[in-house]
Amino acid sequence: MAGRGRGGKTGTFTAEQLAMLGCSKELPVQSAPPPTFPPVLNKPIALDTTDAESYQLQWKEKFLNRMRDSPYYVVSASTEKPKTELKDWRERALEGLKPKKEPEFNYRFMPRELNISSRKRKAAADSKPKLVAKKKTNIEDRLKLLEQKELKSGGENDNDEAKKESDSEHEDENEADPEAALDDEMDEENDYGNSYFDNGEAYNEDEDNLDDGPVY
Amino acid sequence: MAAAADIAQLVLAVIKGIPTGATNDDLTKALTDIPAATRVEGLNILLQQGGIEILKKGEKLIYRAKDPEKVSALPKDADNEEKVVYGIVEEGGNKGIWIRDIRMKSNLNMTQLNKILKNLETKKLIKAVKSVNASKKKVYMLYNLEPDRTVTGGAWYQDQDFEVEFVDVLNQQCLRFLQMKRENAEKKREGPLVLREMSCCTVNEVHKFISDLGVSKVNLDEDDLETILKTVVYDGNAERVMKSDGSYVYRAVNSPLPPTGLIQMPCGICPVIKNCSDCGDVTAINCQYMKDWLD
Amino acid sequence: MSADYLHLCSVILKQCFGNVVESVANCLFSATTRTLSQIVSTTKLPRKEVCVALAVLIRFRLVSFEPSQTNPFLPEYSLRREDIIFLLRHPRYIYLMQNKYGNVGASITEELIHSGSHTHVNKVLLNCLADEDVGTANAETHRNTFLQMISDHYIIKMPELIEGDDQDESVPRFQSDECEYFRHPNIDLHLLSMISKGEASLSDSKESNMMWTLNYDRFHQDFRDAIMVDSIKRKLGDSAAECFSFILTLIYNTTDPWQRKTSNQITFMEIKQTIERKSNNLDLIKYLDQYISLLTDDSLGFLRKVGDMGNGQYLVDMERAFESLAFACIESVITERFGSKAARIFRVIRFKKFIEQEDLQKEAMIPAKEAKSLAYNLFQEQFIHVKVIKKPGGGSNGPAKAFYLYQVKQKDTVRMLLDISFKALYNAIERSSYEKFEHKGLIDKSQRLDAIVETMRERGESDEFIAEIMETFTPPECEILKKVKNRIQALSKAELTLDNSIFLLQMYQHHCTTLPTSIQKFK
Repeated sequence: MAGRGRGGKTGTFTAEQLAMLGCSKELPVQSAPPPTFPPVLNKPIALDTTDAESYQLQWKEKFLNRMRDSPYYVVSASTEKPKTELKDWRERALEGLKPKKEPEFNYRFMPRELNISSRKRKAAADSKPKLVAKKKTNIEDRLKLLEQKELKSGGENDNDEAKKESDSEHEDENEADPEAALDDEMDEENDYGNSYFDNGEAYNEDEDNLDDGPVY
Repeated sequence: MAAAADIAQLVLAVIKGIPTGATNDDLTKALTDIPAATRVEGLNILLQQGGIEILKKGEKLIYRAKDPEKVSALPKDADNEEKVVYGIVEEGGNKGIWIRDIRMKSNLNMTQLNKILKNLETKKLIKAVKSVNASKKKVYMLYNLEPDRTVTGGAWYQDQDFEVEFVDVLNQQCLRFLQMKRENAEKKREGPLVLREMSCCTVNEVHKFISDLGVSKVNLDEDDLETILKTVVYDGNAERVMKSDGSYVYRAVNSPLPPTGLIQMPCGICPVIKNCSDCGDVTAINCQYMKDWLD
Repeated sequence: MSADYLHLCSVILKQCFGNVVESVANCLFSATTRTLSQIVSTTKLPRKEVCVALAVLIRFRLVSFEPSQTNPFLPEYSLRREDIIFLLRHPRYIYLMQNKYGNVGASITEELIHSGSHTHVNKVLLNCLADEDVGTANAETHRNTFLQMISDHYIIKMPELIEGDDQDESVPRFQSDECEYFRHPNIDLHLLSMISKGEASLSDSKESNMMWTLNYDRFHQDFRDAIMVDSIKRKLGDSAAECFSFILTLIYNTTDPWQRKTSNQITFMEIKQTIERKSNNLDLIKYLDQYISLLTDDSLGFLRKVGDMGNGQYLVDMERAFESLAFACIESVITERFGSKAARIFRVIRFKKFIEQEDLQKEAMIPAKEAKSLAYNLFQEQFIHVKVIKKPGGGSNGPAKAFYLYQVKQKDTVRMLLDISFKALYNAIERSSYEKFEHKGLIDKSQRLDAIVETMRERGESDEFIAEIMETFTPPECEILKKVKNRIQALSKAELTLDNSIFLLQMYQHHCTTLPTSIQKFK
């Protein structure tokens, strides 16, 4: 559409007319490609940084660092070791970022399918000792917590477990997508294979199970 | 019955009495004793002689007297084609007529027309004038006519060349005057409306200021200054306000926004932003403008 | 939603939440809704990673979900695309709260940002007070500030979770009640203090379903009003700006701040009473009627007189206001990019609505050749448009005549400028990450050094020893580091100022078009 098909009277621009008018700097005779970066008229306007801006700049830097160090900065386990040759700087910049503390979510406010640990509570119960043993850090702390937990809420826990069981049965009935169910099965192995995920229970317990508390 | 020629002279006298041209009604009123048919005969004679011309104004026809000097300019020995072309050029008045339009109206072919035009030019009956509207465009008009401002461009043109610097200087001086006026107004503290009133300038004031400055070698009238003042408005540096009497005044204003963020970095003024993406020659990483700006 | 915006969102999300969240959001960007399985199969990411990414996005209010229409147990997720750019506005939100409520306000805002939208108010306050003594006046200040921020509508209640009785819990449902948005929660300072001492747990908190979050609309309202008041200050001076600012607060008594085109009416008497009561600007009080007519007469068109009742009825014309301001923005870009003569040409076209090339150059007093070339550039870059009018018939002589008239299509130009701004913002972020990556070694080294020096100072080591340590950083290294830091600083500043342009143009879209915008109320 641009500039084409509008011949005739003055006030229109065909390539020939422009060349005739001497405006050939925009439409050079196609002998050489135009420069990648043609000269520009002005430099960007430089204004002094205001106090408001320096406050915001400082905060912004802090904010980004905090986000990057937060557990909500999710690094994919699968892209951790990509082929080195083909990477551009964007991918390489991600290297060296390790998964941090487990993220905490208030799963009550989310679709249940997102809470992997809740669905596998039964499985998790069996594999928990293994899992804990695998983790190198904080073993003692965690064992202590487990103990505490058992002491604190023996009976309650049973109820809890029972409820979960019925929940997951319920869910299986509801699972709409057979493919998704299959996915789940596969995940089950992955999950504990690379121990990226634990059921999150221990952590919840230790810091702030807070909001979750009254549900069960 | 009076001779047709006498009637014609009578009609011509009436028409000449009304410089803007006479309508049929005017003629009927002025010549009550002459029957319509006779009057028409007289008009026909005048038209044949080329003493009057017919113009159409809305639904009405208007008869107007032609300048006798012009009428006589074409020699008797001119051939028919020359007459036709001459007539067409004459119609164009002092605004001139473009060769393509002459060709369309005359139905002559280009070679023939060129020959005739050349002929008339050498006889100094018509002349070609370069129009300022387009440098390649020539218009033809009768030899003795003074070209219209729209053709010559008026004060801003010297030999069809637009005097950019002259206009720019005037633009700056006008703005300076408006700003001075506003600064003076701001010194008084008599409320916002007085301030606004006092920062307004009439064209007359600006005209006087510019004349006193003596920056112009040609004589500029108020219309010329108004044209310049409008460019100050179009530059976003002033506003044009209509007063209750219908005249316009001008006053300097500030932009309501500081330089917007986009033009504080290279991408906002980048001529190749369209080509910019993650791959190819123009990317954020290998951008020359970005590099110049950051270092 | 343009490709440039998608690009920008992608890089913002990567910056804040990493590449998994980025991939999941990209997948959601291209569709209205998707199910978990669809996302898993499109992104080819492990299911559990997708789950975490979705949870992160939900936690930060960037993804919402609803049960599928065909299966009430199957949630469908959708991305709140317009909100992603808010992540870049956090510094501005914080700064505003810092100005209004001091450090406490800034700290509460920061905590709300980081703790997402599913955290109990007690937890938010405890985090704010993490390093301080809970139970003192300090805690009370925090509580009062929090409540004040709710009263001032900067904090809003999240829709409340409906506790499932017989309802299956696969997809939680929420309800919101407009009357409840800003009702104060019950904050028990005694309980807070007990929790912090470990004598009680957060689960003892009441109203555990009541969650609070930042009310972006309210922040944006302040930003928008500040733009309007500032522009009046620049054009008509301080008193006129103060006057307009009072008018704005007045109209919000009866007008939804996000009403698109115009506000409801107020009378001169109301304005007069308010200003006499609240202002101590004698100039304004003395000449109030004059300032009002100054505002109504001005070409910006912010205030309009619509009647004579109560000594004159007025309304704020948001549509005209943002039309004027968007033009000012467009024109400043043209001036810098194409020169002041091009801006003159643009204004001629804008004032004349439709104009032919020949008239254009005459009106602008620019030589034909230059005028054509400038108009062509503007046309090619979509700042101006051409309207073709075909003259019907024309009879037998020659081809049908057509007129080519220039015109300005502001909506199109604004959209185009917004896309350029998105691209520019993307470039700034991208370039900044690149600089950080390229000089990572150096930056890390300097950070380590700073930390060491810090501890040494604390330990009271001698200045000579510290200087010696400092020297491990060679002068050339210092030189480069300084340069890189300056670059990153310049780019970060560009991010902030670019958002000013974007915000202004988005306000234009809200008030001057019927396009969907990021204003929550109109979703």
